[in-house]
Amino acid sequence: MLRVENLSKHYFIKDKKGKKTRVKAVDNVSFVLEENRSYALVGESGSGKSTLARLILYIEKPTGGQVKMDQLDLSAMSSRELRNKRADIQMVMQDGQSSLDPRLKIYDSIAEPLRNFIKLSKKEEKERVEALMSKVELPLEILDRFPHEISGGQQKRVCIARAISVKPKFIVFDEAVSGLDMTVRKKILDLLLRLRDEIQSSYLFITHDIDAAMYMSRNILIMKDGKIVEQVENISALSEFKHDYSKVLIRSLPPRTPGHRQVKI
Amino acid sequence: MVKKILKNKQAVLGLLMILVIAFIAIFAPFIAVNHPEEIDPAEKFAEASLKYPLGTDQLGRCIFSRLIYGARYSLGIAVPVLFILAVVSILTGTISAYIGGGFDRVFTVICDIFMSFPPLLVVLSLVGALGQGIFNIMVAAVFSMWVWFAKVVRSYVLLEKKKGYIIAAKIAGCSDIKIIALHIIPNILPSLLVYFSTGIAGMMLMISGFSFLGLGIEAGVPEWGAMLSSGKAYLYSRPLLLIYPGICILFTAAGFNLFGEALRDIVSPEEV
Amino acid sequence: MDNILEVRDLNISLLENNSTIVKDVSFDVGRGKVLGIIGESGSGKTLTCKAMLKLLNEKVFGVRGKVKLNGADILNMDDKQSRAFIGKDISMIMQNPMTAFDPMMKVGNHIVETLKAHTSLSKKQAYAVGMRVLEKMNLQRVAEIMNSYPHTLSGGMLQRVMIAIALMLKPRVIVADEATTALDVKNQAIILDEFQKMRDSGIGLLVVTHDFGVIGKVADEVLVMKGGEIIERGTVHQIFYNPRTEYTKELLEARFLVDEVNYA
Repeated sequence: MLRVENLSKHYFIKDKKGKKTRVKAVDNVSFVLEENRSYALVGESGSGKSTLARLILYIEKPTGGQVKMDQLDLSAMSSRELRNKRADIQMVMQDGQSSLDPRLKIYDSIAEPLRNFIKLSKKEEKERVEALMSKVELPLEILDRFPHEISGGQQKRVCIARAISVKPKFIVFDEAVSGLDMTVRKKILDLLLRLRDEIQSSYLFITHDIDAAMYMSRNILIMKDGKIVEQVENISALSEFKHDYSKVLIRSLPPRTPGHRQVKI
Repeated sequence: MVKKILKNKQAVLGLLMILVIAFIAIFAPFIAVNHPEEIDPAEKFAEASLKYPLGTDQLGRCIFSRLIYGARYSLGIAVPVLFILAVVSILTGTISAYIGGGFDRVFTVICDIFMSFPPLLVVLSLVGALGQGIFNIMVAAVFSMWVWFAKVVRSYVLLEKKKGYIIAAKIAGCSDIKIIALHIIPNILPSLLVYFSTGIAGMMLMISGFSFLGLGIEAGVPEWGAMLSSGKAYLYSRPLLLIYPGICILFTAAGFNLFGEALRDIVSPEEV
Repeated sequence: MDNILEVRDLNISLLENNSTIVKDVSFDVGRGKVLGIIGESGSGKTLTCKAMLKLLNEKVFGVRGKVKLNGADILNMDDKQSRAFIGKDISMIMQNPMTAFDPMMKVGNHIVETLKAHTSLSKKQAYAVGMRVLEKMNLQRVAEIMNSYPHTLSGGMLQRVMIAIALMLKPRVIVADEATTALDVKNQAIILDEFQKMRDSGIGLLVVTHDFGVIGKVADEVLVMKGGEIIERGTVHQIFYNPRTEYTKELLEARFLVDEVNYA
């Protein structure tokens, strides 16, 4: 169970006159993520959702509040303990290409978390990497290529393979499918849904796209200006959103079909 | 990368020039026809001949042999100095940029203090304090130049540190040392190589410049800058005394610069 | 015929190895109509747009075919003549407004310079026109916007400024290449509303996108591009309700993930 309590992150930025102003990127956010469930967090650009992701992973230190994993406070951990804890909570970031070291072959990128968290012989490592490749449906021949030599969708799958390699309890997906072609996006989302049942991890799926959020999960959190404005569990229809901001977001969605719109032919 | 270097004409040319100089430096005793420091007062300002292929200088020393041995001094000083500079600057620059925050700010201030003194001034005062000698000039060169290199390394690391794969590596459980050694340094190394290989030409010019000014290197040593310096009194009567070492300096510096610039062209498109 | 823009047999090839990357593309854009082109990366949709406005590097790409603007073939004119049309009669809105503006130039200057390049207005008149077009775009505090640098404005605002600039020269055709892709849903909705207003004012619109949501909202007719070719064309209703190719079906399915029931 992952518990976020009163989590805040403030930045100081200088305005035109050189005066420092406080920006609350994440503002007093609390929620609980149960194991073996999926959650989706929806927010526009600038809502603080990426900062929240980094705080949960403890890559950035919060200004206030706690992230607790199975009752253990991450901020009280030494850097070594924290590093070991990362085997339980993984993240897939937005840009596949930039989250892979350009000078490492795909094999080494996938093997990296295994080498850090689990001690394996060369042979076992190879077997594990190849098994991961088939799990994310990638051909083995790309193992000795470099990140820029494979497609965007393949890069994304490599990142997913890295994340699931250590069998984490939680995986945070930070805009993990934006910027991909629609057909590729659909395939990746379907892969993630299949994998979830297989590896028994819970997902926190962060996106700007309500459509994708609803596809991935029935527990939706809506974030605006650093705050969670609405959380709906077991949602089955968009009409269940009550908050004004959520309704604005839904109204802005393009229609499912052209409907009865007047069309000039 | 090796393949790309061999394909690039400029890089191959520069590399060939460097290899020629390195070859001459290594096999100097076999190439030189006379001992470089042998004085023959009877033969001063001799014309080119079989015995003295490029003639002799004001003390009757064989110019050709002195030039050949000069390659040893130029490379023998510049290369180790650069190596030490590279190690020092990569260590300090990387650590400072990676730790960041207050530590990095203090480091930057120290760098700025160092940089506010021109290298020449630092070398002058150090050589003044330590005394003449090749070792002392090397120490002085390292001491005056390391900040410039460290600052460059620091800025490369700062750029690299922000990239997504560094965060990804952290999430994958890499320790800080692993991130620096396995991710950051391998990724900035090509850019640094470019910077260092162009830096070596500047280093040689600087050392020749110092010996031209009579700093660091004892009189009589066949260093190209020192040869220039001792030849300057005969600028009008024997211009060749200046032209020969000048050409040598130019050739070597050009070799390193050509190679360095070509490397830059080879490395940079990958970064984009 | 009421076609403002007629594209006939547009072919684009890479000169390097003589491979064809866009093949036999033909379409019409009528007055006050919206033609949508949908395709994924590598479909050739952006290249097609750029070729129409002669924005492709002639040393890299070979372009053949006809692009008729009001009957005049701008593609095969010499550059001097076509410059009178491109930017004025046919205008383009790009994906990333941030890169379309000179970062060192204030928005107001940008507008004035653009106007002066195409009209004989004085600086003062141009400034006044600029204020007016920005107001028309439902932008508030127009004077402030005129006086600010591009990077200080949000992506959505900047995109509206870009549309305003495209509109102020009273073009007949506007090409919008992924103009809403980089924006969030709210700004996207605002821009799409603007597209509908443009259409109603008689401008022909070519909307190029990878998003069937955009097509469903604004397009009258639709072309589906894949691998440099048009693989399907039809009215927006035909494409949505009766897609003939598997690829179009796949694209539609991939765009709308959640059942319509949920949208009730």
